[in-house]
Amino acid sequence: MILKRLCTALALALVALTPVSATAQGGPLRITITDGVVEPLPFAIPTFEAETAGSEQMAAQITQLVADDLAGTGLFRQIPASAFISTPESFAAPVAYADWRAINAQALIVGAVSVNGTQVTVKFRLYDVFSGAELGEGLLLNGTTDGWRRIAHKVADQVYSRITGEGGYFDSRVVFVAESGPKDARLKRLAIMDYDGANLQYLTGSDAIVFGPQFSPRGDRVLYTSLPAGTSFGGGGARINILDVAAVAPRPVTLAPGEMTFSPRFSRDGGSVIYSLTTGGNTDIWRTDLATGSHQQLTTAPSIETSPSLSPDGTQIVFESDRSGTQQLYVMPASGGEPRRISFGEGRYGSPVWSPRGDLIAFTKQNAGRFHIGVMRTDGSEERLLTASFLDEGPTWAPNGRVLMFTRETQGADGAPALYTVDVSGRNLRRVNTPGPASDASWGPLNP
Amino acid sequence: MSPGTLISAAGHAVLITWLLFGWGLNARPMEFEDISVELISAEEFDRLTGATQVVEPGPVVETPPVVAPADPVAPETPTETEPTPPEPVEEAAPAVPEPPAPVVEAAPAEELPTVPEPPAPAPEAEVIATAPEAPVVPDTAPAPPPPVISSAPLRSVRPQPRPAPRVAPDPVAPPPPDAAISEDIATATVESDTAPEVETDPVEETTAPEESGDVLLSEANETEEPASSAPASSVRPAARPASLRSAAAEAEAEDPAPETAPAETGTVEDATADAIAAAVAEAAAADTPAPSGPPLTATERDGFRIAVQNCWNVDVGSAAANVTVVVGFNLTPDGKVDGAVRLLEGTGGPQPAVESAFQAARRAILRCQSDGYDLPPEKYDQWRRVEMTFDPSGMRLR
Repeated sequence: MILKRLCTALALALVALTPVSATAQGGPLRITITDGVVEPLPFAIPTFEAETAGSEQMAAQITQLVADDLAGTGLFRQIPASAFISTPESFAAPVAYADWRAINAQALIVGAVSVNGTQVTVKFRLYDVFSGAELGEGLLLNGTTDGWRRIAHKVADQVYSRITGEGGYFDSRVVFVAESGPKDARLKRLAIMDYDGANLQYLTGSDAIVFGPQFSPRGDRVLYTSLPAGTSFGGGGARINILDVAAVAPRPVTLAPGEMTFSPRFSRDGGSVIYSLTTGGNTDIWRTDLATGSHQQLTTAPSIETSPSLSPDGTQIVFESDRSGTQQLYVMPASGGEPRRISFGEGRYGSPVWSPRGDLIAFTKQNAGRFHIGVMRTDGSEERLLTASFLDEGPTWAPNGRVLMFTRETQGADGAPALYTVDVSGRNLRRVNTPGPASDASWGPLNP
Repeated sequence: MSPGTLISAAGHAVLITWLLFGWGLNARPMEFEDISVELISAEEFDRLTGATQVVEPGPVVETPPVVAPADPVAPETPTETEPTPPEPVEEAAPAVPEPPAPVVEAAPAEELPTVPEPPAPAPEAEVIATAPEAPVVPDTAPAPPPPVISSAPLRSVRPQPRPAPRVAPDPVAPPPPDAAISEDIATATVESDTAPEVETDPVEETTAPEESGDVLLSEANETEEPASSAPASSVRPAARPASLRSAAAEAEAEDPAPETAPAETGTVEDATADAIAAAVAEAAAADTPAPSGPPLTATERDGFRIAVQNCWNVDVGSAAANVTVVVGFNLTPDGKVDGAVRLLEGTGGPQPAVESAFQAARRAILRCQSDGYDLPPEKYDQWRRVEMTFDPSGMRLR
């Protein structure tokens, strides 16, 4: 009897509670998504409107370059114009989002170009098609007809930045060593070009062999090592020069006295140079203040320390050392101090470069007869090799820390170096368009 | 008597008795069904079939007006078709109406690309063809003779509301050369759609070839047809909200069957879910504005999650790949995003990276909704509000 009553009471309670529990479940549905896809984001870029007579060609060129910049990253995919359902009648016309959604265009770039004499004005807008809203605000850029590529690069940088949340790198330049002639008597000249290989310009003649150029943080100067004809590297002939890019005027830099100085690099403020100096058979890392000419020795170990690179905040230096018996990477305070080894994998690590983003260190790794370009976190964890070949070396970061450029040399008597880029994710390996063999690239900052 | 005789006699007795009384057998003869059979001529048969098809056009006729806005000519034809259907039976030969049929099909297909409303399925096209064409034939017949080139194509297009404008510009120049090509294609379409075509008037043939100009365009139709099929399914969801709002119980009874099928939660679960939902609904009849139902099953949640993650594009090399964002949004009863997708929380990176991660999440949600997420309508209250966390830590540079 008691049991029966109990059951009845329970049943009643259940019925009474049912509506309550139903409303209690009225909170939002919570879903966690941990897996997605990795694929280029499709974008549409109708040819920019030509607002002035005769600017059609310029509009087409700029449109094409913007598209090439974006597609070249491997992060975006251009939808061919033949797939367009409609094209905007004008720059100010309302966007037919449905037409763009139908072809799965996730970003839409609309622009207009006007040319007045030698002046070019470009304006553009970026739309997020599926949310039906504009990303950022419309932007207007002015420039000269000669500098139309820079304007296009800047548009692409804006688009890239607004979608990825990171800075762009299209409007930037690269200084490198342009090579010519046979392998055993090769001429090496300093050259500068846009990131995509355009606007090539030689900075030095072929009277001296140059190597290891390094851009200053502002991109206005270049440090490099020069070996005049008739001298040898070991014989003390090598000297470090600094070159004003605008004036194309090199001058030697006075560094600490020693048998040999090499692998120079600007500090983050551009006011000093850190480099390797060999004295008495021992190589250590030094710093020289360009303004005062004062020198400071940063390492004192009896081993070889070289290839210093400063962190973006200027507080730490990563360098390579063979103090453990093999070539490994170490990090120490910028003012000197006890180094901490960060590389522990198999093989030899060299030419470390701290990412402008500060999160990664790129390096060259030699292991089992192969060369790799790789990255690791600044504490040495999460090492990832991005490339592998007969000879890959000398990584340099794009200004946004997203892409690496490096030298890849092919094997054999006909082998020649060339510049390549690779995304930090290991995807999108591409050869940089240079007129001839090229090596020792240093990627400059975004142009002002 | 010998034992054998006795056994034989007994056995026969039993057999006779069994046959007489029929134990276990039903001796009643089968009743005959009376079926009256009438012989009808081929013409009568055609009329009958034509009549049945005429009945169908009713719903079909509704579709042309939808397309009509694109072409001014279009609206006129549908109105004409309605009254005309009786005519074909009497005046026009049964064979006549059919030949244009293929043309009509080709025509709507062509326009489908331009007009994003492609829900005209094949069967509809056929129906339209037979009904409206019959009346058209008499019209076209007189027309072609006077203006052979210009007017002919236009009128031939008539029966097909949409094609008219397209046909006009193309066929103007070459009538004779096209004829050969057009015949081939025309016959091809005829075979596919309506095989039995015997008689075709020479006049009609001339009109048909001209429309073959359309046929050239129809090649493009092939690529565009898939696009039309997609939206066709979009019609479905519309039914849900109506039933839901009108009566929760009905929605539960009707919708679950077709819609939960893909979810594959199992019939038993559905049945219990429905039962519970119904019970709750009865208990709190007027109190619950929308069906809440039990919590989503793991399968239903997974289906939703997978649908979104298929559109979640992660840039694994970016700073945004370190950012976890939580976004909130509302869904309509048919599973579509209602209003804006809001950023509720973003951690793991600087503001630009958070913004980028949010944009990627928003794109994923908006892109993959298409015709609405496949969620059980009887549990609408469970998923009308969603908080979705996008955590890329598992895929970062693996």
